[in-house]
This record gives sequence, C-alpha cells and structure tokens, in this order.
Amino acid sequence: MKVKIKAKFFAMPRDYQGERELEMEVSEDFQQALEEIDSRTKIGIKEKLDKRFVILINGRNYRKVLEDKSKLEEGDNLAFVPFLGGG
Amino acid sequence: MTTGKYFGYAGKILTVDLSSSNYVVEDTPFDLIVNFMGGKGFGAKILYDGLKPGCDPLSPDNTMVMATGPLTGTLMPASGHITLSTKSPLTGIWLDSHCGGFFGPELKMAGYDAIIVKGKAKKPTVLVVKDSKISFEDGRDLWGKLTFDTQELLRKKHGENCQFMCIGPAGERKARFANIVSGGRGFGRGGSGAVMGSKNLKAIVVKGTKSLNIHDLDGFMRMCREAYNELMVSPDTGGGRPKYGTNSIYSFMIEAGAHPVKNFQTGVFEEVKECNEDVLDRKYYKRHIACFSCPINCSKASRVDDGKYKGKFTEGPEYENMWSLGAQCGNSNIGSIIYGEHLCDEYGLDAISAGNVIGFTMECFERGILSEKQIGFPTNFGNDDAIIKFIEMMAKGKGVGELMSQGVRQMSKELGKSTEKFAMHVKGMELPAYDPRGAFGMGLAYATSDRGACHLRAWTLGAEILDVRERMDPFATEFKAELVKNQQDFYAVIQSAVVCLFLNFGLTQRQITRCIQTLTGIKEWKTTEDILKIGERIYNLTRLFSMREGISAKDDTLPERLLREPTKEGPTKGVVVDLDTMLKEYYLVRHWDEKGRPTKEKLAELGLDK
Repeated sequence: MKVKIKAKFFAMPRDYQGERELEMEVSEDFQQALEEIDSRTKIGIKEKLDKRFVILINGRNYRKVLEDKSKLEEGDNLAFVPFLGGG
Repeated sequence: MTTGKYFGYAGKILTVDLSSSNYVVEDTPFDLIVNFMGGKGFGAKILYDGLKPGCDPLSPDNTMVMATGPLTGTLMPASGHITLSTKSPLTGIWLDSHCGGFFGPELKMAGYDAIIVKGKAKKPTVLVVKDSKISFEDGRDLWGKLTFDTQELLRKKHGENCQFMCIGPAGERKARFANIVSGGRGFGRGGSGAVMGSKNLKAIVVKGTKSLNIHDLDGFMRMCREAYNELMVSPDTGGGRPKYGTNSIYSFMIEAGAHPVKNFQTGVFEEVKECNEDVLDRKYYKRHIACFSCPINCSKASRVDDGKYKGKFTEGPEYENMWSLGAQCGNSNIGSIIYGEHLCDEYGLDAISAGNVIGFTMECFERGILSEKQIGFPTNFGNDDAIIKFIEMMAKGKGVGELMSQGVRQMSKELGKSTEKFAMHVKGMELPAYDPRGAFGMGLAYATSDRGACHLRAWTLGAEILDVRERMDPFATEFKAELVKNQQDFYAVIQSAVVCLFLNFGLTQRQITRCIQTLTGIKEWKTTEDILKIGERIYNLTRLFSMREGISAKDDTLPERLLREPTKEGPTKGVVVDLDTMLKEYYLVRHWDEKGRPTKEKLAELGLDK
C-alpha cells in the first residue's frame, strides 16, 4: 500500500538534495520506502544512513518509532538530519 | 622570546587592584596547573580560596578571573577562547563565561595565564596590558559609549594589533545580565558586564609579542593535523557548522519539538517555513568569520538587504538568538532578529537572557498581568517592534525595562500573581534555546548546571535524539545521569584547557586529551581518566562555591511549566519532564548525598577536603 509522506532535508542533506522538502508517495513498508526515496533523491541513503545522518519520523529517531509501529502512515514527516551538535 | 617554564603556559598571573591602581605579577603555581589546568579551573580554585562568601557581586569585594589554558593560542584548531570566572550578580552564585575570538591568545602572548581583577577604580578606567607594561588609563571619555565604538577608539589609540574586551552602557549601569564584548564575540551570560561596570572598568587592552614552549613538538603537531582533519570530515564541524553556523541545528530542533516557542508554551513553530537556516544562508549570510586558529568558521556576518530592517547587520545571528529574539517571542522576522542581536552587542546585554525576559513579558501582557499602560505599548507575541524597544529599554533602564533588566526571576518575584510558574529560569539564570520536554537530558542538564540553566555544561540532544548506537530515548530517564555527568566533567576540561567547545562535536575525548598531553608533557596527566578527573574536581569545586552562597538540592529544579504543564501539540505533546528520577540517579553517579552535597569521600578523592 502507498502512503503520502513528506521528506525533509536539513543541513548537508539539504545541500546535496538542493531543496528542503519533497512530498512523495512511497510504500508503507519502511525499508521499501527508503529504497524508493533513495532512488528519487541525491543524498545517498544507502551509504550514509546512520553514518552521516539519521532519520527522524515525526521528530523522533526512526529506530525508536519503528519499535512502536511497523508501517509508515499517511502524512508522516521523514527528516534526514546529520549528526550535529549544539552551542 | 619564549615564555613560561611549563610547556603551553605563559607562566605568570597578573593580579590587579583597581582600588589602588597597583598590580602584582607572580609565577603560575604548578600545583594550580596540575590540579586545575587553567581557565575555569583556575577561576574555581582562585575564587573558592579568595572570595568572601556572601559578598555582594557588585561590590569591590567581588573578583574577576580571566584565564586561558595550555591549548589556548597554539596551532590546535579553535584555540582562541578565554574564560572569565566571578560571582554572578544575576544568580548570586558561581559564574564562568567564555569568549571566542582573539583575546585569549593575545593575553597568553603577553605572558599571562590569567588576569585577576580586584577592587574598584575611583573613576572609569581602562586597564592596558602590553607584555610586561601594565598601566591604568583614564576611561572617562569612553564611558557611555557603545561597545563597538569603544573598541574602535581603543584601536585608533593603541593600534591594530591589540585585542580588547569592554562593556557597553548596560554594563556601566550594572544591568543584571550585562555582558562583555571582545571583538565580535563576547562573555555572554550571567552578568559579567555588570561586575566589570561595578568596578568602573570600561575596558581591557592587551598586546603580546611572546611565544610558547611545546613539550613534544612533533607529537603535538601530529595531533593538531589529526584534529584539523577530523574536524573537516565531521558532518558537524566540517559540514553543517561551516555552512550554517550554529543554526545548522535550527530546523532539526523544531522538527523534534525541542525549540521552545512563546515562552515555552509550545514546541510547534509553523513559521519555520520562512524562518530557517536556509533562508539565512540564501538571504542574510554575507561572509564567514573565524576565531583564532579555527577552520570551522562557524561565525557569520549577516546583513538585511531589504524591508523594514534594511541595512541592519550583525556578527551572527547565533542559534540561541534566532530563538531568544525569534520563536521565544513568537517572532519570525529575521531582520528584526539581526538588528536585535546587534543592539544587544552594542549596548552590552546577553541576548539569550534578554529574549527570554521579553518572551516572559509578552506572556504577562497577553495574560493581563501587565497592561499596555504599564509597558507603554501593546506587546503581544510576534511584535518585532516591541522586541527592539525592549532591548533599548533594558539597556538604558527605562520604564519596565529597568525591572526586566534585573532578570526573569526578580521580575516574576515583583509581579507575583503566580508568574513564577512560567518564569523560565534555573537558579536565576534564564533558560536558553532547548525545551527539556523534547529531550529529558537537557532538563537534568539545566537543573544541575553550575551556573544556573545553561546548555554549555552538557548538551545531550545529539545523543538523545540522533545517536543510533546508544539507542537513547529523549522521553526516558535511563542513562541521562551518566551522560550529563560525563559531559559536564569533559566540558569543564575543555573550558580549562581553554579551547572552543565546538571541538567536542568533531573530536573524541581521547583526541582532545592527547593534544593536552603532547603539548604539556605533564606526567600526572598520563591518561584520559587523569584529565577527566580534573574536570570532575572543578565541577565539584564550583558546587562547593555555590553551596557556600546558599544553593541546595531544592535549587536543582526546573520551572513548573516544564514539570507540570505538557505541551498540547507537536512531537512533545503530553510530555512533562521526570526530573526527580534523573536527579536521584545524578546525585548517586556524582557521589553526592541525597541533599546534593559532595560526600566527604568524594571530596577526599578529589583533594578538595582541606
């Protein structure tokens, strides 16, 4: 089944992608959705996920979210965020 | 000519008594070096031993300690910092504040590891330190001048190769969160500018021509190169930060609900669509600016090219000020944030505290606790004109600005009417740009920070929200006590080696301690643990300092809003911070008793039991 999600890109992923947000229809299965997003974007998910950036689903770490729910839902926000620090 | 018999250190401490216009230069004691390293550590030891408990922070009895550390002024990347330690007039407890730029290296090259300033001058004074030549100059023609004008006049008089630190009108009139400006940077928080103003000290000029001895030159240079390379490949220090400055985390914080909006009433900020780091990069950032020896280049020169604030500019705006003058006030007008930040710098006011207090005032207005008549103009959230007016009023002490400039704790005390429930401070220090309901670790960090609510003693959000290895949950209490203690101890090391905290986001603890070891060759600092112990010692000493000033476990808390008022929307909907659980564990991990006091055994272990 397909769901409409919003992919958001911050800092360096935003730089590679060239835009901040992309609405797209993807598979509700997370791994499948990642492959679909990877094929449609320029941020290099396969090589860089968990090494250079992480994904927040609706503001929470994707690994935590997937412990509670197994599928993506209509309207989910997927934010690609590099390992950043504050100050 | 090289200086200092200890590698990396200048070897001398300058103590100045403004009351008598006298000074003394003494050797930096090895005891002080090996147990407290420098910077914040020096300040903690010198002030704990030398400051009278209970003294008025704005009296001649208070003392300021400006100190560098062994790494300052070397080829170590980002080694341009200096620390200032004193008793805060805003909180009444321990304060250490840190400034980037170039003042620290210049002081070291002048031959001093620290300047200790005591007493009070009879009239406005400028302290001039040029290598071994120390003088007290008349500062009356500078008194009343804005900080950048002051520095410009001092530059004309003393030359381009000097570095300066000075106060503005806010510090002169002892506004409780007045800051000190140095170049385009500053000692931001806690009111160090008011302390300087209370001493009639308008500015310090420093010029140095000496150099340093290195213990293991090849080893140290290798570490510097390694540090440089690591910084450049990190997604933070080599990616987000050079491009977006401290605002690289802006959108991410909002996405996670951790960017407080309208005085911490919510974590949702729809305006992020037009107010974000990309807009800053595209429309406002004009130039990158770096501190001494720094490849990160996080600072930016920004200018507004059109609209209401056309022509206004700042060095910044920093993430903290994008918040304090932005979302904290329900404001998304970047031009006004740029102008407001610049005004804070000109007048010499901490922009974080300023914005926090303005947001509080706006909430008081919307709740009908303060009227338009009392304030002088309507001041709903989102009113950018009001933000600019308030900054000037706080700087000059005009109208309600006088009360605002005393800090949000004092302001809510005087207003009463349960305003203390949403006066967002800990121990009198206004909360900065992170909502602990978005990351519990920050709640513990704020509650146990040694200078009151602060994000520069532990910054846990990366580990809590982004880190995949630790699998931390931002809404859980597990592991937060350990995380916060470890960061506090390590940040104390960074603030005593005196380098920029941002090194921590590109280098490991091991790499930073290896730089310290190869530079100094101090035998007692064999391992990372030996060096971390210094951080732990410093953190316990600042705790003792503040306990002596009346702090106890009841002050290790958070504003009621964060403990009892969940947000109604967004990623943090329904969440309040479970501080009690984390605090109990924190005291255990620190070996403090249930009243938050370091145990005798811990103090003995750290050599603090005398």
